[in-house]
Amino acid sequence: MAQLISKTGKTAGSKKINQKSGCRTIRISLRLLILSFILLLISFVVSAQDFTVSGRILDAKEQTPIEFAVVQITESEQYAITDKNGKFSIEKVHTGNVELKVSILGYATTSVKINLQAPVPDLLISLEKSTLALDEVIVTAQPKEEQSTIYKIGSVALEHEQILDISQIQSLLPGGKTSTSNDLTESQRLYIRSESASEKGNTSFGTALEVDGVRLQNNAGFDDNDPYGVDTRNISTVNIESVEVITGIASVEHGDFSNGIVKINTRKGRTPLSATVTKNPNTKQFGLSKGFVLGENWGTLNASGELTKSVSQMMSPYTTYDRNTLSLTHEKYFKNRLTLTSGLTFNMGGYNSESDPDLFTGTYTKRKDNVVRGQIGAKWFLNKDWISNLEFSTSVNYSNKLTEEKTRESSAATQAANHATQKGYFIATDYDENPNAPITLLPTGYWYEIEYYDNKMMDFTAKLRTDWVRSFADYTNKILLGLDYSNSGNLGKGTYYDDMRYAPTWRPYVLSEVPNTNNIALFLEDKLTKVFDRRSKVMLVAGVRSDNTYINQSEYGWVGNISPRVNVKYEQNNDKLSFVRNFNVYAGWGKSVKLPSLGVLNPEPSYSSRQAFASTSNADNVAYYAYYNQASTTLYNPALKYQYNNQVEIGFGANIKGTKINVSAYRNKTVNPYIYESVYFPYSYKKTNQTSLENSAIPVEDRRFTIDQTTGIVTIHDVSGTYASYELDYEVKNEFQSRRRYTNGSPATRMGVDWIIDFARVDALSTSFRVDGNFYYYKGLEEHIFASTSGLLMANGEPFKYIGYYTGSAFASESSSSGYSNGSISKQVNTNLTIKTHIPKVRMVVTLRIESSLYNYSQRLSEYSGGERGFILENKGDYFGDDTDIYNRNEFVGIYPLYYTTWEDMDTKIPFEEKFLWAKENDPELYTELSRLVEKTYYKNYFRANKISAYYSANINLTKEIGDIASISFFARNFTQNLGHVKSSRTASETSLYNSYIPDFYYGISVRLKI
Amino acid sequence: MNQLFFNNLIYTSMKKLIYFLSIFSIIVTYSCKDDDELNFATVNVQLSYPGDVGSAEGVTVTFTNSSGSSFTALTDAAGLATIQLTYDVYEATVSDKRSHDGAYFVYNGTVSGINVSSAWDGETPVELELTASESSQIIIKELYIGGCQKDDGSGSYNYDQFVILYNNSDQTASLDNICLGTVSPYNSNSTSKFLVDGVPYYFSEGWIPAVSGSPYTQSAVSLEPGEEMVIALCGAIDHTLTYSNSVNLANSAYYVLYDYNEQLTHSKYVAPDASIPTSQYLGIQKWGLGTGWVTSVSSPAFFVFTTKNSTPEAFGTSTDNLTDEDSGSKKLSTDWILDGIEVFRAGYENTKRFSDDIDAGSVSLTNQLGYTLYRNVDKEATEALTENAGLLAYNYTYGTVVDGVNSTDPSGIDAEASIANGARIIYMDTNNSTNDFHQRSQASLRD
Repeated sequence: MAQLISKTGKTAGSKKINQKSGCRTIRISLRLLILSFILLLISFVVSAQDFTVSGRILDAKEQTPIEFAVVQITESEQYAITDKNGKFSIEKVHTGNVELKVSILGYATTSVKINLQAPVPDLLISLEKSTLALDEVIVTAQPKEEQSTIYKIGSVALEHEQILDISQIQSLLPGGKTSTSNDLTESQRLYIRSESASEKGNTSFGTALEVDGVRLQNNAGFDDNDPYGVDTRNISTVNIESVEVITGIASVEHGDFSNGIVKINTRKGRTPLSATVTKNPNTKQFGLSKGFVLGENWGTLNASGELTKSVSQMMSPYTTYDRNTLSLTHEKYFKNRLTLTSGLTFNMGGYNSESDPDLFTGTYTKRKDNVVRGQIGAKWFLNKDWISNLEFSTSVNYSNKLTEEKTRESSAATQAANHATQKGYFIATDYDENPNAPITLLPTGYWYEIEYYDNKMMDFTAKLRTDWVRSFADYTNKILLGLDYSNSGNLGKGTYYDDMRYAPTWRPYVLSEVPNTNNIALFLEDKLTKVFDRRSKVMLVAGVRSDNTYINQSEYGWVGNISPRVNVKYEQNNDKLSFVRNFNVYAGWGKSVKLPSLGVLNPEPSYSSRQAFASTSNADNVAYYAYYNQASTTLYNPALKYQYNNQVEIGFGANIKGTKINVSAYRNKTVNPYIYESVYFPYSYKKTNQTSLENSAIPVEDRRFTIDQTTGIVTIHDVSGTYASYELDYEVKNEFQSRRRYTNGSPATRMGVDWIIDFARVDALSTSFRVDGNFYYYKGLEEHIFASTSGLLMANGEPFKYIGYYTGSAFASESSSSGYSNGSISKQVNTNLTIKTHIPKVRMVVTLRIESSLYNYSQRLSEYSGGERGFILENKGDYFGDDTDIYNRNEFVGIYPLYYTTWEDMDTKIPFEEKFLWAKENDPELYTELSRLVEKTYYKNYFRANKISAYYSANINLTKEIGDIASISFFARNFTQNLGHVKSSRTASETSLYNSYIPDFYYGISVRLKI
Repeated sequence: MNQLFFNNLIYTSMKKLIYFLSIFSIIVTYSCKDDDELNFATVNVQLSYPGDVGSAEGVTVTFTNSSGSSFTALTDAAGLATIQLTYDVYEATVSDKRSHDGAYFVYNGTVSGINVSSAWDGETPVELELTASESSQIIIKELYIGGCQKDDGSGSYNYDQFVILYNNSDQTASLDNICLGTVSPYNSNSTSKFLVDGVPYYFSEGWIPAVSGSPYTQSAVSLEPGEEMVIALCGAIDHTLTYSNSVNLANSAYYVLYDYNEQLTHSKYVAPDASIPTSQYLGIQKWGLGTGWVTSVSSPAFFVFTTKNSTPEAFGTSTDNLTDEDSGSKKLSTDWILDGIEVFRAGYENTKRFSDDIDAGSVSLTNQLGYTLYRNVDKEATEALTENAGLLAYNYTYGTVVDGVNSTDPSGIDAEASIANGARIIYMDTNNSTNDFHQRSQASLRD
């Protein structure tokens, strides 16, 4: 009765308000707020209608009870875990149409729908073992029910595909392509919804990776210019239960990403002893895992180990990458619904070329990849009126990536090794005289040099979550509130050398002295679901996340950002016999923020130096060099903003007579991508050259030199004392120092459509067909103005004194200089056809996947909103041109800077084109110098559109189970050895597909035993 | 009685007459046969000089027959050479060297397929057209750019490159500047960007694409006859202190490419030895990218030039002389070129970058082994110099094998040893490095 009132009350009320006026939005939202508050109060009162659901979970074949199975009510997320008798019991389940989902590792997830009107005392649910004998086996990525842009890849699919590295899962996503790398000796990364590493916004860094809820970071990395995403090679692949890929708008629970999230779930609970052996020409993998039940009350312990060795060349198997992992996960479920999970993972391995006989004796490169990761979590299902779940977890992740490189060096003459960190003039001294001198001389002869890069990343996280679920009438409302804290830092020393005598020009930058980053995020989300007949439903999710970063001692201080996200979905289920069995539509909008890496916020202090003096060489080939040294640390930019993504997506899914269709379209705009630019500062220094040494009476072997740190004047001394010291003549040079500054660039847009059509199985052939693919569009255009200069001397022999300012640059993400193009467009259409033949009686599944690229278009752009950028050069030697149709004419293109400044006056911006035209007639010297600032393309077809003709590659995979104990998988990649050619429309030339766009012909085998 | 005696007499004289007649006819027959085997014809060859150049007396015309034997004839004042040749097919070649104003001119010409037979017309002379190529006083005597092996077997060392220029004439050579250059592409086995129907189109336009930049002397240069100029292309130091297979370039007479203004920042440009005065430092005009003067370490098309009516700075900074096809190259007029050498990479398929008037041939180099390219001695001209009597050393032992073929100085004269004795060597300069150069087993500075 009360329910009826609330139902009609809400709908009637809102209709009335809408009819009254559409303009008074504030009043409307206020009323809605009041109404929903009333609803909640009512639901409190009306909550009397709920019952307990109890039952048992049994093995379908043996009819024995199954312990540790998770029984969960779909909408309200209430759950229970079965005991050793297979019994479970969930209290306070709201009346109405309820779906129970039962899942446990090793069995197929089963759903049972009941109409709850009274307590259920003994519901029996049987579970079938998850083997190839089941009627339905999934070996592809499947969109999840809750949200179509979340794809789930199960362990059967991972084993069938023989995934040896996490980054390889990208081939299972719609339109995904098999990786072209054969081995693990090079870094592997994830790029979701992005086709190229050169796109703006650093997409691999923006793809988040989690293992069992622990986020793996690269924020504490100081990789030069572009911090990359996490290297996936050190993650074990033998113990994965499933991988979920969120490509679209994620819940506000997740932050610090811009392009997608990959979540890896490892096996937990009781599992049989399983041994895996995988072999392909470059890699071998041995894995062993087992889940033990520790006595009566001590929960389960899942232990897994893996030894993997990958070589880069089969012919010379010495340069290797090793992965040796051990992970332990413990889980204990208490009767009062508290689950304690703890895990520990160790990985020891890395890259090593030491034993390679093709390298010169004694030289090698070694890169460690050692990881220790630990986590503890507690999840308490309270199931109370005012709180449902409380969750707390904390983790520590330590990653040691020490690199050691030993090389063979030799030199006939001394070279200067500059270690000066102070400002001023310094002269090189013999190492033996003063090993700590700011500049030392490298020796002559032969020696070994060992360089280390000590990189130890340490991340600590703590999370607290609570949610409150209320069901009333047909509605379920869940409110989620959480707090995330993370601290990232580096314990390493940075670059250093084993023997300073042989260290080249270098200054220490101790990474452990860089202060840590602290991130605190708060999020709040509300999810309202209404279930209709036959479980058709409407779902509305709205959430907001606040990300805040604090770095001690950084000029940036506290930085905060708010990311709201909204999602709505409608799902309709019809009769199983109707034409359209079910369909769903959804739409979402959201914002996500990517925190910059430590490298951007705490840039490496760098130095610039110019040669101030060079003596002549004496009989031992020793010459003394002096340099003028200045710090050129990256400039603090108070206007630096967070890079964030705004994403809009819509989607549609339907099941039409057994054929499942899923289509989603998205538009993702990256705003304020992090880029860096050069800022020029004029300065003067004194330069002394060898002419001032001529006619010196002092014999060469007796000459010694000193330089004054402040004035830069060189004094020559006679070691024998016969002659007096005197100062040498000098010249004054006017130069520019360039310093880097991080800033935000122009936005980049990505759009796409992903589709999957899973045709109904053709029973006669035991075969099903699946067509999946994607359309992808990217446009990035940089309008930020960059400064650049020429390295050539002017006609009078002096350093070049003009700086040109250009719009945009050719290079993506963090660009530094002017270039011919300032952006690019790319469009792609990829389609895959998967033919799966599954014969349950034989327990075998064979898939043939044909991956094709149907359309591949890219073009470099040169445009900006303020005018024309670039003009046609009728002849290469021209500096002027009237035709601005650069895309359609196949000619050289010239680009002017917008304006320029001079060394004497860096503030006056002189418009370039006008002055250049004037100088041609009136000032030939200026004209010659300014002409060096005109950029000209190297090739005639630089701006031509590049269409790559269509190509394909086919893979075949086979998995066969032998009884319940063993299963064997085999794959052949590019098994047709497609040696065709693709044509590029830009260069009008053909390239062979061999070793370029498609992977090499490759094969592998994997055997698994389960006892 | 008398009748019988006379009959007998007539009979015996008749017999004798018959015998005599038959013998006589036999002799006559055989001598006619000899006349058949002695068939030959007169061949006239008229030399035709290009332009206004007049003919000269005493120029050698060489006729080679099908079996490889050669015969020579000298021309008269009108340039006509006459020779009696037996019936065969001949090839006639002429190489006429003349000098004036410190420049040497070589007039080359070949006519083949001269079919001397009974149908030969001895009256009509065979026209032999000659093309001129100018040899300058300054030539490249030696080019060492291939590098040598390091002592510890860790690879090759390439920072000891040098070139030696030489005054091959009998007069002092004075030039405002001496500049160096290489032609695009850097390596002989790379594809040229200037090809039209397989041939570089600049061959017929009188320029070459000079790539990367040009080192140039800072002041005027003067070389006496027989004087050489060693230019170190990166380090003018004693490289043998560390690399025993290398050379010692620390010599006060040597020049070095070294720029104070840091246009050459590559570590191979070390401070020159103290003995070298700064007036011997070459500057550089750079118009390509790179931290130094980029040249091939295997197969450059190397040349030496002087800027006539211009300066290296003006040429280097000019915006008018860029090529369309290669942004790192500038158009350099072949008038300016003093000498060029086309180096081919041994064991590869190579294409020419110089036209025939600069270098009609090529010399192959196997690099990284310490080999150098050294010019052959002009045996005739050197032995003709009276001042060289008794000073020339023979038994040249520095030849090598390239692509399975011997590469050595065909004159057999050991030029360096002869120079050490005080002789003045005149080197072969036919503007054809197939004839003019060989691959020498070690740099001459190591002798």
